[in-house]
Amino acid sequence: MTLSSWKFLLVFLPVTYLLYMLVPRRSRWAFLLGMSYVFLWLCSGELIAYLLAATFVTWACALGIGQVRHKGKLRASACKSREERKSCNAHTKKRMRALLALGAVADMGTLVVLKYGGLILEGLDALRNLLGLPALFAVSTATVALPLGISFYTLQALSYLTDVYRGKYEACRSLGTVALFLAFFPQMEEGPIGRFDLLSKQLRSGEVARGSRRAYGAQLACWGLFKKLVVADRLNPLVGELFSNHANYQGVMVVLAGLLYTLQLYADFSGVIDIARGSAELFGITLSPNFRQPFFSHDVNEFWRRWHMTLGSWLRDYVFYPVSLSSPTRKLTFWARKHLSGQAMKLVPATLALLAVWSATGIWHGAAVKYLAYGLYYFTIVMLGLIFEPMFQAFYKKIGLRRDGAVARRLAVARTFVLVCIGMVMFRANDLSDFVAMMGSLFSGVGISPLTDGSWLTHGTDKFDMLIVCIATALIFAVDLAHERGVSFRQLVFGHGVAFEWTVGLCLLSATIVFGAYGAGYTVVPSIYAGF
Amino acid sequence: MAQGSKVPSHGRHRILRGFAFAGLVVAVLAALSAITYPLLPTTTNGLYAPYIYGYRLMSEDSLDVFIIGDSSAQCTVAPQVMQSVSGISSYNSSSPLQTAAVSAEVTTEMFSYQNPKVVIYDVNNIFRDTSATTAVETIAQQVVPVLRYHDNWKRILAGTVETGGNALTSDLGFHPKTDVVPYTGGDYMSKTTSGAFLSFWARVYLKWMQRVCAEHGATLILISSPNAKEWNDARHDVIADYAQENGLTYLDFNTAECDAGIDWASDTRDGGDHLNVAGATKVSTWLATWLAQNKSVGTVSAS
Repeated sequence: MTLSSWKFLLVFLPVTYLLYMLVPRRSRWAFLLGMSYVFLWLCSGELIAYLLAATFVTWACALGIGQVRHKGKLRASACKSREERKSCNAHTKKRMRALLALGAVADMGTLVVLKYGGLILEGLDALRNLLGLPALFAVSTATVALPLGISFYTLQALSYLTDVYRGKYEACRSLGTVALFLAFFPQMEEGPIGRFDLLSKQLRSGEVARGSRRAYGAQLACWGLFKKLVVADRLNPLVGELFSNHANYQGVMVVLAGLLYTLQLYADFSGVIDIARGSAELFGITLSPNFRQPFFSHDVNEFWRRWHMTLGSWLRDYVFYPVSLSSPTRKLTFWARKHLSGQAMKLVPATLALLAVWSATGIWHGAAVKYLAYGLYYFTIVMLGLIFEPMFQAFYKKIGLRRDGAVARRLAVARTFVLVCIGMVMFRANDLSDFVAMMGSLFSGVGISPLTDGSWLTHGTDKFDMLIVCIATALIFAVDLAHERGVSFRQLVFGHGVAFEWTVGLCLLSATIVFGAYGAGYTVVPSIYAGF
Repeated sequence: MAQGSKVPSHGRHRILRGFAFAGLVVAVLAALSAITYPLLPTTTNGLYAPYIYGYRLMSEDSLDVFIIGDSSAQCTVAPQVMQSVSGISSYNSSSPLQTAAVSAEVTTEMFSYQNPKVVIYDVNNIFRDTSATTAVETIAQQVVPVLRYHDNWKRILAGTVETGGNALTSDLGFHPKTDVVPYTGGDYMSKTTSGAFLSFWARVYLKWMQRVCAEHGATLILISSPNAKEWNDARHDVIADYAQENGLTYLDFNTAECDAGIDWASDTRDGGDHLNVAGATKVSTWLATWLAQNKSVGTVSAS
């Protein structure tokens, strides 16, 4: 059962919502937890055991950290001398760190073993071959089944543990609250990656959406379904053809492949996130947004602040800052200040943290070299941007173009879009060698005749499909443009009277039903990010 | 709320608004269904296997026998042969991978156009995809046709919607093939297989077929086409038991009781999964004779 399936939208969600309204308010959180486990059981079966184990370990370790801190404070206040107090605090910190490490290793370790175990074993086996060592055991390359949402709830668990360790908030005594935070069903498939301090109160509040909030939630979910079924799924056969048989396509067709996949991924991912957020709204819960008009970005840094925002902020708070403030980085900064000058002095310390973040960005997506390369691709662009920044400033000054002017900003948006599309080709290609081959063939095709002869419209996506995709894309762009100018979805639809609200809702529903890529002649397309 | 108190006016207002919106949704779905529903059963009008609706194009109440099932039945029962042997007028609405849900739905619709004395249902598909998901989707598509025919927007836009002409084929739904690929695997009936049981929804579809045939005074006969790849004793027993419990006639052409003289060296087009024309002629002849002798449908000619 996926968030975009009829089983979820027409059965599970309405039944859960109706029963939720009937349950006494103080018990609603428990009901939500129960239904979240039912959802996970229906999706992953007995693999739910991994989530249950992670929940208990995370809750217990966080509670332990809190208790050690509290007892440590009491002991420190009883100390007679400064040295004694210092020793006491160091001992407390050490024990807290041990508990954090225990929880992190348990949570992260499970993810690493399940998701990357095969790749690690293959790598070790390749190394063994290289060194000419005998094999101690057979290496299986069979794919291990992953429980739904493991990449998402693991990050949530780690953020909770780390925040408690940092003293951002107290550990939660309620196992149920922590369990619901990790298992809340709308966010299991593709996120967004939540933070405990933003979600816990909402999850326990037992609020129910009524009136306009319920209508907003339903319409947001419908908008997400429109993007998924009308755009993303309708493009799937053609995108599959262009990437699986890339050897048959050159030049402008490679450009088309990059453009169409970028559009497919955005429509798919943002569509399912809208369904998740719309569903959560029904229970009075506002999940964090995950997209903020990413294709209006002026550089790749901004793009990653607007695309998969909750992953970006997680990596910033739990990878970038810790690495930046770590002892090795501080030593490197000190050394750079002493031995380097100018741009190099600023760049060298930043390199470690940026390398960590972009490597993590890449490998979080999957156990394949191309994902690591994807992360390093953006690392390279960011580093080159930093290195050549003085030259760019000089260039703009020389040609008399203001960098914050309209022309320069539009050029920057176009440039960023091209860089993102190239990254998407790498992301979607079967492997790195396919990506290299596709980039190589980008310049071997001549002219736009492959595009105009219509032969590409015979692979499951015809001219009518492309017509509706273009119209739907224009609509998505218009909504994004309105958001960019400060007019929200809610403002666009609500506040203009019931007749307007209902007209928009019915038009959206009709468009999804008529133009959606489902039923006979179509295959069900799983959500792309659910695979991560 | 205290006993005897009324629903607050804002609550009544919300309930009325809810009903009003639901009504509008129903109206919109009905309108979309009417717009996209194919006027003529053709591939151009968006129907997969449009030939299964060929009975719509025949003269009303002209059928004696109606055949339904998956590709096994489509390659086994030849209406032309039944016509020449016993003068039986029939139509074969079988199609590849046809689900039991579709078989039940099509049979129900057929009775709006025809009134056959006998409905022959090849139960090979009763063991395939009888999940609740398929059942709900099929029922939803019957109730809200736009869910099935929504892609017809392309044909409406292109102006290629067919509203006239005759899409009826001369084979009357039968799928003739002359290829010969022998089956050489020996006894297939004693091979075991998992899943030889009637699921909840399989029984629902069978009951559905029984009910709709009974309502229209037609006799439902269950058959199993000769099939060396998908049939065996376990499945035979399950169907035979059901038939006996429900007072239905069951003809299994994989057994000695219904021996149509199939020669697996020459009568199959794909190594035992489907019959070719030679095999279909034998089974159709046997069936037509049996119907004439046992169900008073048609008359066996002296020649």
